[in-house]
Amino acid sequence: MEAAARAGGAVMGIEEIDAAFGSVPHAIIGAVAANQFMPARQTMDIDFAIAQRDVDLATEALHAAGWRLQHELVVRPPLAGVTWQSADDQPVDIIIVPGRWGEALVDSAMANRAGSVPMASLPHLVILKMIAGRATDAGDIARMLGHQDALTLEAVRTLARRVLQESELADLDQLIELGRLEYGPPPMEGSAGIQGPPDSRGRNSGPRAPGGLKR
Amino acid sequence: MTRGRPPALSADLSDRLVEMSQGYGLSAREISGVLERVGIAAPFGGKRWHPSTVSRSLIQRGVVLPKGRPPRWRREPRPEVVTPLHVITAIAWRRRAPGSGSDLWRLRPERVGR
Repeated sequence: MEAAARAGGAVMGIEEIDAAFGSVPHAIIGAVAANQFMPARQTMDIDFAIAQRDVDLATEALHAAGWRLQHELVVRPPLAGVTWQSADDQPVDIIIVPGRWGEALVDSAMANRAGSVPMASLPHLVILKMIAGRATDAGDIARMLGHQDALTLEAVRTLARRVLQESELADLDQLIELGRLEYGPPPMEGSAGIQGPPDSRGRNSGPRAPGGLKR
Repeated sequence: MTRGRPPALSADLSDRLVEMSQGYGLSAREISGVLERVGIAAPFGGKRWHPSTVSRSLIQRGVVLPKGRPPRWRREPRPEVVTPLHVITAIAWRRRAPGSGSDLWRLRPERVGR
């Protein structure tokens, strides 16, 4: 339950909430998931994502668990969202993610849950927050990515290229820059001969680390 | 089908390949591209990472690789509106290129959304 322990106060009872989904693929998103990758920020909300293909199944499962549908959430299309009230009267926001990338988000979280709750992976979380586009999301992306090494950042960019448009990829690079400004220059680490990743203008960024995975 | 001896990778790099494949869902071809762009030296010398090198390493770790090409998830182009995220990234751009930022980004009323 390491991930849950890092995720902060909102994790209290998260396993019980998680169980209400039954076999319906889902992923924990929002600050609870983001706190795995950045200095924890306080949150009262527990947000889940489900794929659009599973909306009917999820509605059935949550009704069966004694949950009550509250209201629709105001989120930017193509995302949609609803607030449910759990059986113990806790509000739970559920974001409905369309398309194959929505399915990939929940499927990868379910495949990697390893006995724990299904947390969205870093790149899926970043893509979701890029599309949501709120100020909080921008801050979360900067803090989640600002301290990551070159390999992780390039992997995130590679997955993001499947979903985001060119202008959004440029925005992502800017948020990484903001995160680096917040965390300061990365320490040198690893073994010899590793170059940093190219930035959006094709230049190699940062100092060459003596051999391992450069931040 | 991948043949040949599996490459000898450091435990750290091998773990990272597994994470990129299983955790992120990247294909062997995408992972080899990531490794090349980051500049990690290939196990048999040089900078070129062949996808089959990545595949062999992942198979050695027990990873079941998906068949076929990675899915394309392109969604509909979204309307040209300015969100808080755009404003924040514009600030980041101005900090990155001091003196030129004010000409690079202008908020036009017709682009401002909710």
